[in-house]
Amino acid sequence: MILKVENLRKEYETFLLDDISFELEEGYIMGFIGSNGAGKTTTLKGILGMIQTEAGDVEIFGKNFKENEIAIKQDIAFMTGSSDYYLRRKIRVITKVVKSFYPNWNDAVYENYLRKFKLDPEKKVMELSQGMRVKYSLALALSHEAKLIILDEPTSGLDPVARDDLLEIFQELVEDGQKSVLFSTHITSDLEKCADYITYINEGKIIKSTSKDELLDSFRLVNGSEEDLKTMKQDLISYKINSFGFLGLIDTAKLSRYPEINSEAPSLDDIMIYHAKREETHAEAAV
Amino acid sequence: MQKLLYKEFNLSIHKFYFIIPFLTGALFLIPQWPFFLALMYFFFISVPNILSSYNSQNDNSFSIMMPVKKSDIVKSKILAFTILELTHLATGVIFALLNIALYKTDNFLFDPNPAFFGIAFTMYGLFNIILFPMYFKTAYSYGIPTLTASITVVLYITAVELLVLFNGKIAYYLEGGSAESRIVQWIVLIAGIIIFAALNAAAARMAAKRFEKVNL
Repeated sequence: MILKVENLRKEYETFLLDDISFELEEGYIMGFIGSNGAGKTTTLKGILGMIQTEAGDVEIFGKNFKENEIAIKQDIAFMTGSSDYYLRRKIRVITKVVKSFYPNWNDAVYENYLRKFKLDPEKKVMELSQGMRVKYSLALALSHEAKLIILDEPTSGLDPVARDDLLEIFQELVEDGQKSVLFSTHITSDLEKCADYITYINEGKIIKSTSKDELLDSFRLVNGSEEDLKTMKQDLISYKINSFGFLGLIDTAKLSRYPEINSEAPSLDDIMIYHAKREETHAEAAV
Repeated sequence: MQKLLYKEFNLSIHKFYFIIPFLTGALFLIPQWPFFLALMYFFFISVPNILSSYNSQNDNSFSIMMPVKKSDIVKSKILAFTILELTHLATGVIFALLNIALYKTDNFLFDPNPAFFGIAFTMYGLFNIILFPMYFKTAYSYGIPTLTASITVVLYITAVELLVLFNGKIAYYLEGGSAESRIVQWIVLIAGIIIFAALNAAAARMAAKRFEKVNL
Protein backbone atom coordinates (compact mmCIF):
# COMPACT_ATOMS: atom_id res chain seq x y z
CA MET A 1 0.00 0.00 0.00
CA ILE A 2 1.55 3.29 -1.07
CA LEU A 3 -0.79 5.48 0.97
CA LYS A 4 -2.97 4.63 3.95
CA VAL A 5 -5.00 7.30 5.73
CA GLU A 6 -6.76 6.32 8.94
CA ASN A 7 -9.30 8.30 10.92
CA LEU A 8 -7.91 11.73 10.10
CA ARG A 9 -9.69 14.49 11.98
CA LYS A 10 -9.38 18.25 11.81
CA GLU A 11 -11.63 20.69 13.62
CA TYR A 12 -12.20 24.25 12.54
CA GLU A 13 -14.69 26.63 14.07
CA THR A 14 -17.09 26.24 11.17
CA PHE A 15 -15.95 22.99 9.58
CA LEU A 16 -15.19 19.47 10.73
CA LEU A 17 -13.15 16.97 8.79
CA ASP A 18 -13.97 13.71 10.46
CA ASP A 19 -12.88 10.09 10.33
CA ILE A 20 -11.13 10.33 6.96
CA SER A 21 -9.85 6.91 5.93
CA PHE A 22 -8.80 5.57 2.55
CA GLU A 23 -6.01 3.63 0.86
CA LEU A 24 -4.18 3.78 -2.44
CA GLU A 25 -2.17 1.00 -4.04
CA GLU A 26 0.92 1.31 -6.19
CA GLY A 27 0.40 1.91 -9.88
CA TYR A 28 -3.03 3.48 -9.73
CA ILE A 29 -4.66 6.85 -10.11
CA MET A 30 -7.08 7.91 -7.42
CA GLY A 31 -9.42 10.81 -7.95
CA PHE A 32 -10.45 12.65 -4.82
CA ILE A 33 -13.78 14.27 -5.54
CA GLY A 34 -16.10 16.51 -3.68
CA SER A 35 -17.82 19.81 -4.19
CA ASN A 36 -16.15 23.11 -3.32
CA GLY A 37 -15.59 23.30 0.43
CA ALA A 38 -16.09 19.55 0.96
CA GLY A 39 -12.65 19.21 2.60
CA LYS A 40 -10.45 18.00 -0.26
CA THR A 41 -7.60 20.45 0.24
CA THR A 42 -7.82 20.15 4.03
CA THR A 43 -7.50 16.37 3.72
CA LEU A 44 -4.49 16.57 1.42
CA LYS A 45 -2.83 19.13 3.68
CA GLY A 46 -3.64 16.95 6.69
CA ILE A 47 -2.01 13.95 5.01
CA LEU A 48 1.16 15.95 4.40
CA GLY A 49 1.34 17.56 7.84
CA MET A 50 0.77 21.07 6.51
CA ILE A 51 -2.03 21.53 9.00
CA GLN A 52 -2.14 20.19 12.51
CA THR A 53 -4.70 17.40 12.74
CA GLU A 54 -6.44 16.43 15.96
CA ALA A 55 -6.39 12.70 15.27
CA GLY A 56 -5.50 10.12 12.68
CA ASP A 57 -2.55 8.27 11.17
CA VAL A 58 -0.98 8.54 7.76
CA GLU A 59 1.24 5.82 6.37
CA ILE A 60 3.14 6.38 3.13
CA PHE A 61 5.28 3.57 1.65
CA GLY A 62 4.32 1.56 4.76
CA LYS A 63 5.93 4.07 7.14
CA ASN A 64 4.33 6.48 9.56
CA PHE A 65 4.46 9.93 7.94
CA LYS A 66 5.04 11.97 11.08
CA GLU A 67 7.93 9.78 12.22
CA ASN A 68 9.60 9.60 8.80
CA GLU A 69 8.59 12.94 7.30
CA ILE A 70 11.88 13.89 5.63
CA ALA A 71 12.61 10.44 4.18
CA ILE A 72 9.04 10.06 2.87
CA LYS A 73 9.01 13.56 1.36
CA GLN A 74 12.07 12.59 -0.70
CA ASP A 75 9.86 10.18 -2.63
CA ILE A 76 6.64 12.16 -2.92
CA ALA A 77 5.59 15.33 -4.64
CA PHE A 78 2.77 17.65 -3.73
CA MET A 79 1.37 20.37 -5.90
CA THR A 80 -1.29 22.89 -5.07
CA GLY A 81 -3.65 23.86 -7.84
CA SER A 82 -2.31 27.26 -8.62
CA SER A 83 1.42 26.71 -7.92
CA ASP A 84 1.57 30.41 -7.21
CA TYR A 85 4.90 30.63 -5.45
CA TYR A 86 7.91 32.59 -6.67
CA LEU A 87 5.95 33.72 -9.70
CA ARG A 88 8.54 36.29 -10.73
CA ARG A 89 11.48 33.92 -10.60
CA LYS A 90 12.80 32.02 -13.58
CA ILE A 91 12.18 28.30 -13.83
CA ARG A 92 15.96 27.77 -14.03
CA VAL A 93 16.47 29.52 -10.67
CA ILE A 94 13.65 27.69 -8.90
CA THR A 95 14.84 24.34 -10.24
CA LYS A 96 18.37 25.01 -9.02
CA VAL A 97 17.02 25.46 -5.49
CA VAL A 98 14.56 22.55 -5.65
CA LYS A 99 17.15 20.07 -6.92
CA SER A 100 19.44 20.87 -4.00
CA PHE A 101 16.89 19.22 -1.69
CA TYR A 102 16.87 15.86 -3.50
CA PRO A 103 19.95 13.58 -3.49
CA ASN A 104 18.37 11.35 -6.14
CA TRP A 105 17.69 14.23 -8.53
CA ASN A 106 18.30 13.25 -12.14
CA ASP A 107 19.31 16.09 -14.48
CA ALA A 108 18.87 14.01 -17.64
CA VAL A 109 15.27 13.15 -16.69
CA TYR A 110 14.58 16.81 -15.91
CA GLU A 111 15.98 18.01 -19.26
CA ASN A 112 13.94 15.35 -20.99
CA TYR A 113 10.69 16.52 -19.37
CA LEU A 114 11.48 20.17 -20.13
CA ARG A 115 11.72 19.22 -23.80
CA LYS A 116 8.66 16.97 -23.67
CA PHE A 117 6.52 19.62 -21.95
CA LYS A 118 8.06 22.42 -24.06
CA LEU A 119 9.14 24.36 -20.95
CA ASP A 120 11.62 27.18 -21.41
CA PRO A 121 13.90 27.38 -18.33
CA GLU A 122 14.42 31.10 -18.92
CA LYS A 123 10.71 31.83 -18.49
CA LYS A 124 9.28 33.11 -15.25
CA VAL A 125 6.56 31.07 -13.55
CA MET A 126 4.08 33.93 -14.07
CA GLU A 127 4.65 33.69 -17.81
CA LEU A 128 3.43 30.09 -17.85
CA SER A 129 -0.18 29.15 -18.45
CA GLN A 130 -1.97 27.22 -15.71
CA GLY A 131 -1.48 23.97 -17.61
CA MET A 132 2.22 24.64 -18.12
CA ARG A 133 2.64 25.36 -14.40
CA VAL A 134 1.20 21.94 -13.59
CA LYS A 135 3.56 20.40 -16.14
CA TYR A 136 6.51 22.22 -14.56
CA SER A 137 5.52 20.83 -11.14
CA LEU A 138 5.31 17.36 -12.67
CA ALA A 139 8.74 17.77 -14.29
CA LEU A 140 10.16 18.62 -10.85
CA ALA A 141 8.34 15.69 -9.23
CA LEU A 142 9.49 13.18 -11.81
CA SER A 143 13.09 14.38 -11.79
CA HIS A 144 13.45 13.39 -8.15
CA GLU A 145 11.71 10.12 -8.93
CA ALA A 146 8.64 10.75 -6.79
CA LYS A 147 6.59 7.59 -6.42
CA LEU A 148 3.51 9.24 -4.99
CA ILE A 149 2.32 12.39 -6.68
CA ILE A 150 -0.39 14.33 -4.89
CA LEU A 151 -2.02 17.16 -6.77
CA ASP A 152 -4.66 19.50 -5.46
CA GLU A 153 -7.08 20.52 -8.20
CA PRO A 154 -4.52 20.31 -11.02
CA THR A 155 -7.18 20.54 -13.71
CA SER A 156 -9.24 23.43 -12.41
CA GLY A 157 -8.92 26.46 -14.63
CA LEU A 158 -7.60 24.44 -17.58
CA ASP A 159 -9.26 24.37 -20.97
CA PRO A 160 -10.58 20.97 -22.16
CA VAL A 161 -7.55 20.34 -24.39
CA ALA A 162 -5.02 21.08 -21.65
CA ARG A 163 -7.08 18.96 -19.23
CA ASP A 164 -7.16 16.00 -21.55
CA ASP A 165 -3.45 16.37 -22.18
CA LEU A 166 -2.72 16.35 -18.45
CA LEU A 167 -4.93 13.34 -17.76
CA GLU A 168 -3.07 11.43 -20.45
CA ILE A 169 0.22 12.31 -18.76
CA PHE A 170 -1.17 10.92 -15.48
CA GLN A 171 -2.01 7.68 -17.23
CA GLU A 172 1.49 7.44 -18.70
CA LEU A 173 2.99 8.02 -15.26
CA VAL A 174 1.35 5.03 -13.61
CA GLU A 175 2.04 2.70 -16.55
CA ASP A 176 5.20 1.26 -14.96
CA GLY A 177 3.13 0.16 -11.97
CA GLN A 178 5.43 1.88 -9.48
CA LYS A 179 4.03 5.37 -9.28
CA SER A 180 0.65 6.44 -7.97
CA VAL A 181 -1.25 9.65 -8.47
CA LEU A 182 -3.76 11.09 -6.04
CA PHE A 183 -5.48 14.18 -7.34
CA SER A 184 -8.40 16.17 -6.13
CA THR A 185 -10.95 17.63 -8.47
CA HIS A 186 -14.54 18.72 -8.67
CA ILE A 187 -14.65 18.03 -12.39
CA THR A 188 -16.08 14.54 -12.60
CA SER A 189 -15.28 14.05 -16.29
CA ASP A 190 -11.57 14.01 -15.29
CA LEU A 191 -12.26 10.90 -13.29
CA GLU A 192 -14.34 9.22 -15.93
CA LYS A 193 -11.32 9.55 -18.23
CA CYS A 194 -8.50 8.39 -16.03
CA ALA A 195 -9.21 7.41 -12.41
CA ASP A 196 -8.92 3.80 -11.26
CA TYR A 197 -10.17 4.59 -7.78
CA ILE A 198 -12.37 7.31 -6.44
CA THR A 199 -12.60 8.71 -2.97
CA TYR A 200 -15.66 10.83 -2.56
CA ILE A 201 -15.82 13.37 0.23
CA ASN A 202 -18.82 15.44 1.21
CA GLU A 203 -19.13 17.91 4.09
CA GLY A 204 -15.88 16.68 5.64
CA LYS A 205 -16.80 12.99 5.58
CA ILE A 206 -15.80 10.20 3.22
CA ILE A 207 -18.89 8.85 1.49
CA LYS A 208 -17.09 6.10 -0.44
CA SER A 209 -13.56 5.13 -1.34
CA THR A 210 -13.56 2.42 -3.91
CA SER A 211 -12.92 1.59 -7.56
CA LYS A 212 -14.68 3.84 -10.05
CA ASP A 213 -16.95 1.04 -11.29
CA GLU A 214 -17.86 -0.05 -7.78
CA LEU A 215 -18.74 3.51 -6.84
CA LEU A 216 -21.02 3.84 -9.85
CA ASP A 217 -22.53 0.39 -9.13
CA SER A 218 -23.22 1.17 -5.49
CA PHE A 219 -25.88 3.78 -6.31
CA ARG A 220 -28.89 3.82 -8.61
CA LEU A 221 -30.85 6.71 -10.00
CA VAL A 222 -34.55 6.01 -9.59
CA ASN A 223 -37.66 7.73 -10.85
CA GLY A 224 -41.30 7.24 -10.13
CA SER A 225 -44.59 8.85 -9.19
CA GLU A 226 -45.29 10.88 -6.08
CA GLU A 227 -47.03 7.77 -4.67
CA ASP A 228 -43.79 5.80 -5.11
CA LEU A 229 -41.91 8.59 -3.38
CA LYS A 230 -44.10 8.27 -0.28
CA THR A 231 -43.20 4.61 0.13
CA MET A 232 -39.48 4.86 -0.56
CA LYS A 233 -38.63 8.35 0.72
CA GLN A 234 -36.82 7.09 3.82
CA ASP A 235 -34.48 4.92 1.73
CA LEU A 236 -33.48 7.63 -0.73
CA ILE A 237 -30.25 9.52 -0.30
CA SER A 238 -32.16 12.53 -1.61
CA TYR A 239 -34.63 13.33 -4.37
CA LYS A 240 -35.96 16.06 -6.61
CA ILE A 241 -39.63 16.51 -7.40
CA ASN A 242 -40.49 17.17 -11.02
CA SER A 243 -43.70 17.35 -13.08
CA PHE A 244 -43.66 13.57 -13.65
CA GLY A 245 -43.12 12.60 -10.05
CA PHE A 246 -39.59 12.40 -8.62
CA LEU A 247 -36.01 11.58 -9.42
CA GLY A 248 -33.78 10.30 -6.63
CA LEU A 249 -30.61 8.44 -5.68
CA ILE A 250 -30.65 5.21 -3.71
CA ASP A 251 -28.09 2.72 -2.41
CA THR A 252 -28.08 -0.22 -4.83
CA ALA A 253 -28.41 -2.58 -1.84
CA LYS A 254 -31.80 -1.06 -0.99
CA LEU A 255 -33.11 -1.15 -4.54
CA SER A 256 -34.35 -4.76 -4.22
CA ARG A 257 -37.01 -3.53 -1.77
CA TYR A 258 -38.68 -1.75 -4.70
CA PRO A 259 -38.75 -4.22 -7.62
CA GLU A 260 -41.25 -2.19 -9.61
CA ILE A 261 -39.33 1.09 -9.65
CA ASN A 262 -37.46 2.34 -12.74
CA SER A 263 -33.75 2.63 -12.19
CA GLU A 264 -30.63 3.44 -14.12
CA ALA A 265 -26.91 3.88 -13.49
CA PRO A 266 -26.04 7.33 -12.16
CA SER A 267 -23.18 9.49 -13.35
CA LEU A 268 -20.54 10.72 -10.89
CA ASP A 269 -22.23 14.13 -11.13
CA ASP A 270 -25.53 12.57 -10.01
CA ILE A 271 -23.84 10.94 -7.02
CA MET A 272 -22.27 14.24 -5.99
CA ILE A 273 -25.41 16.30 -6.51
CA TYR A 274 -27.77 14.01 -4.58
CA HIS A 275 -25.36 13.62 -1.67
CA ALA A 276 -24.91 17.38 -1.50
CA LYS A 277 -28.69 17.78 -1.58
CA ARG A 278 -29.06 15.38 1.34
CA GLU A 279 -26.72 17.52 3.42
CA GLU A 280 -28.78 20.59 2.52
CA THR A 281 -32.00 18.85 3.53
CA HIS A 282 -30.46 17.72 6.83
CA ALA A 283 -29.18 21.20 7.51
CA GLU A 284 -32.62 22.68 6.81
CA ALA A 285 -34.28 20.07 9.02
CA ALA A 286 -31.90 20.93 11.84
CA VAL A 287 -32.81 24.60 11.54
CA MET B 1 18.69 22.92 7.06
CA GLN B 2 21.72 23.90 4.98
CA LYS B 3 19.57 23.49 1.86
CA LEU B 4 16.87 25.71 3.32
CA LEU B 5 19.49 28.34 4.04
CA TYR B 6 20.62 28.03 0.42
CA LYS B 7 16.98 28.56 -0.57
CA GLU B 8 16.71 31.64 1.67
CA PHE B 9 19.69 33.33 0.02
CA ASN B 10 19.08 32.21 -3.56
CA LEU B 11 15.34 32.48 -3.81
CA SER B 12 13.77 34.28 -0.87
CA ILE B 13 16.03 37.06 0.38
CA HIS B 14 17.15 39.51 -2.28
CA LYS B 15 20.88 40.29 -2.57
CA PHE B 16 19.92 43.93 -1.98
CA TYR B 17 19.65 43.19 1.75
CA PHE B 18 23.34 42.31 1.80
CA ILE B 19 24.23 45.70 0.28
CA ILE B 20 22.23 47.66 2.85
CA PRO B 21 24.68 46.83 5.70
CA PHE B 22 27.45 48.56 3.73
CA LEU B 23 25.28 51.64 3.19
CA THR B 24 24.12 51.85 6.79
CA GLY B 25 27.60 50.90 7.99
CA ALA B 26 28.92 54.01 6.25
CA LEU B 27 26.75 56.04 8.63
CA PHE B 28 29.42 55.32 11.27
CA LEU B 29 31.45 57.97 9.48
CA ILE B 30 29.03 60.74 10.48
CA PRO B 31 30.77 62.62 13.30
CA GLN B 32 29.02 62.80 16.67
CA TRP B 33 26.12 60.56 15.77
CA PRO B 34 23.96 57.91 17.54
CA PHE B 35 25.68 54.92 15.94
CA PHE B 36 23.17 52.36 17.21
CA LEU B 37 20.82 53.86 14.66
CA ALA B 38 23.05 52.60 11.81
CA LEU B 39 22.49 49.05 13.07
CA MET B 40 18.77 49.65 13.61
CA TYR B 41 17.97 50.35 9.96
CA PHE B 42 17.86 46.55 9.64
CA PHE B 43 14.68 46.58 11.75
CA PHE B 44 13.07 49.40 9.82
CA ILE B 45 14.01 48.44 6.24
CA SER B 46 15.11 44.83 5.84
CA VAL B 47 12.87 43.01 8.33
CA PRO B 48 9.42 44.22 7.21
CA ASN B 49 10.37 43.98 3.53
CA ILE B 50 11.76 40.45 3.76
CA LEU B 51 8.78 39.25 5.80
CA SER B 52 6.35 40.85 3.39
CA SER B 53 8.12 39.25 0.42
CA TYR B 54 7.71 35.83 2.09
CA ASN B 55 3.98 36.47 1.94
CA SER B 56 3.86 37.78 -1.61
CA GLN B 57 6.01 34.91 -2.89
CA ASN B 58 4.05 32.29 -0.96
CA ASP B 59 7.26 31.12 0.57
CA ASN B 60 5.75 28.86 3.21
CA SER B 61 3.75 26.88 0.63
CA PHE B 62 6.94 26.37 -1.33
CA SER B 63 9.14 25.45 1.64
CA ILE B 64 6.74 22.94 3.15
CA MET B 65 6.67 20.98 -0.11
CA MET B 66 10.40 20.34 0.16
CA PRO B 67 11.65 17.34 2.17
CA VAL B 68 12.04 19.33 5.39
CA LYS B 69 10.37 19.60 8.78
CA LYS B 70 8.32 22.60 9.77
CA SER B 71 10.78 23.39 12.56
CA ASP B 72 13.65 23.48 10.03
CA ILE B 73 11.84 26.20 8.09
CA VAL B 74 11.76 28.34 11.24
CA LYS B 75 15.38 27.66 12.11
CA SER B 76 16.63 28.43 8.61
CA LYS B 77 14.82 31.77 8.55
CA ILE B 78 16.13 32.77 11.97
CA LEU B 79 19.62 31.74 10.89
CA ALA B 80 19.29 33.77 7.68
CA PHE B 81 18.24 36.85 9.67
CA THR B 82 21.08 36.25 12.12
CA ILE B 83 23.57 36.16 9.23
CA LEU B 84 22.18 39.49 8.01
CA GLU B 85 22.52 40.94 11.52
CA LEU B 86 26.11 39.71 11.71
CA THR B 87 26.77 41.38 8.34
CA HIS B 88 25.45 44.65 9.77
CA LEU B 89 27.71 44.24 12.79
CA ALA B 90 30.73 43.34 10.64
CA THR B 91 30.33 46.35 8.36
CA GLY B 92 29.68 48.42 11.50
CA VAL B 93 33.03 47.33 12.94
CA ILE B 94 34.87 48.21 9.71
CA PHE B 95 33.38 51.69 9.53
CA ALA B 96 33.75 52.21 13.29
CA LEU B 97 37.49 51.55 12.93
CA LEU B 98 37.56 54.01 10.04
CA ASN B 99 35.74 56.56 12.21
CA ILE B 100 38.31 56.19 15.00
CA ALA B 101 41.19 56.44 12.53
CA LEU B 102 39.73 59.50 10.82
CA TYR B 103 38.42 61.64 13.68
CA LYS B 104 40.52 60.57 16.68
CA THR B 105 37.93 62.13 19.04
CA ASP B 106 35.34 60.70 21.39
CA ASN B 107 31.71 60.56 20.29
CA PHE B 108 29.15 62.68 22.12
CA LEU B 109 26.95 59.59 22.42
CA PHE B 110 28.15 55.98 22.86
CA ASP B 111 31.64 55.48 21.35
CA PRO B 112 31.94 52.70 18.78
CA ASN B 113 34.12 50.49 21.00
CA PRO B 114 33.91 46.75 21.95
CA ALA B 115 31.26 47.49 24.60
CA PHE B 116 29.16 49.28 21.99
CA PHE B 117 29.17 46.15 19.82
CA GLY B 118 28.51 43.95 22.85
CA ILE B 119 25.36 45.97 23.52
CA ALA B 120 24.52 45.86 19.80
CA PHE B 121 24.62 42.05 20.01
CA THR B 122 22.15 42.13 22.92
CA MET B 123 19.98 44.56 20.92
CA TYR B 124 19.74 42.11 18.02
CA GLY B 125 19.12 39.23 20.44
CA LEU B 126 16.33 41.17 22.14
CA PHE B 127 14.78 42.03 18.78
CA ASN B 128 14.87 38.40 17.65
CA ILE B 129 13.36 36.94 20.83
CA ILE B 130 10.39 39.30 20.47
CA LEU B 131 9.97 39.21 16.70
CA PHE B 132 10.22 35.52 15.84
CA PRO B 133 7.92 33.90 18.43
CA MET B 134 5.31 36.57 17.63
CA TYR B 135 5.70 36.30 13.86
CA PHE B 136 5.61 32.50 13.71
CA LYS B 137 2.30 32.44 15.54
CA THR B 138 0.79 33.14 12.13
CA ALA B 139 3.86 33.04 9.83
CA TYR B 140 1.99 35.74 7.95
CA SER B 141 1.27 38.87 10.02
CA TYR B 142 4.48 40.78 10.48
CA GLY B 143 3.30 44.32 11.33
CA ILE B 144 2.65 44.05 15.06
CA PRO B 145 5.61 41.69 15.70
CA THR B 146 8.03 44.01 13.87
CA LEU B 147 6.64 47.11 15.59
CA THR B 148 6.70 45.53 19.06
CA ALA B 149 10.27 44.31 18.64
CA SER B 150 11.42 47.62 17.13
CA ILE B 151 9.83 49.77 19.84
CA THR B 152 11.36 47.57 22.55
CA VAL B 153 14.89 47.88 21.15
CA VAL B 154 14.52 51.63 20.60
CA LEU B 155 13.55 52.02 24.28
CA TYR B 156 16.39 49.71 25.33
CA ILE B 157 19.02 51.60 23.35
CA THR B 158 17.65 54.99 24.46
CA ALA B 159 18.04 53.82 28.07
CA VAL B 160 21.62 52.69 27.38
CA GLU B 161 22.55 56.00 25.72
CA LEU B 162 20.99 58.00 28.57
CA LEU B 163 22.83 55.94 31.17
CA VAL B 164 26.18 56.48 29.44
CA LEU B 165 25.40 60.16 29.01
CA PHE B 166 24.31 60.91 32.56
CA ASN B 167 25.90 58.24 34.76
CA GLY B 168 29.59 58.96 35.11
CA LYS B 169 30.49 55.59 36.58
CA ILE B 170 28.87 53.65 33.73
CA ALA B 171 30.43 56.03 31.20
CA TYR B 172 33.83 55.46 32.84
CA TYR B 173 33.63 51.71 32.38
CA LEU B 174 31.90 51.58 29.00
CA GLU B 175 33.64 54.48 27.29
CA GLY B 176 36.74 55.17 29.33
CA GLY B 177 40.26 54.70 28.02
CA SER B 178 41.81 53.20 31.19
CA ALA B 179 43.08 49.61 31.19
CA GLU B 180 40.36 48.70 33.68
CA SER B 181 37.67 50.21 31.44
CA ARG B 182 39.00 48.43 28.37
CA ILE B 183 38.80 45.05 30.10
CA VAL B 184 35.19 45.77 31.04
CA GLN B 185 34.43 46.77 27.44
CA TRP B 186 35.78 43.47 26.09
CA ILE B 187 33.84 41.55 28.75
CA VAL B 188 30.67 43.36 27.64
CA LEU B 189 31.39 42.31 24.05
CA ILE B 190 31.85 38.64 24.98
CA ALA B 191 28.78 38.71 27.23
CA GLY B 192 26.82 40.35 24.38
CA ILE B 193 27.79 37.57 21.98
CA ILE B 194 26.76 34.90 24.49
CA ILE B 195 23.43 36.64 25.19
CA PHE B 196 22.82 37.01 21.42
CA ALA B 197 23.41 33.28 20.85
CA ALA B 198 21.25 32.28 23.83
CA LEU B 199 18.36 34.57 22.86
CA ASN B 200 18.46 33.32 19.25
CA ALA B 201 18.38 29.70 20.37
CA ALA B 202 15.42 30.45 22.66
CA ALA B 203 13.67 32.41 19.87
CA ALA B 204 14.09 29.46 17.48
CA ARG B 205 12.70 27.00 20.02
CA MET B 206 9.67 29.13 20.86
CA ALA B 207 8.98 30.09 17.24
CA ALA B 208 9.24 26.48 16.00
CA LYS B 209 6.78 25.35 18.66
CA ARG B 210 4.27 27.99 17.57
CA PHE B 211 4.79 27.33 13.85
CA GLU B 212 3.85 23.66 14.35
CA LYS B 213 0.30 24.84 15.12
CA VAL B 214 0.04 27.07 12.06
CA ASN B 215 -2.21 25.71 9.33
CA LEU B 216 -0.45 26.37 6.05
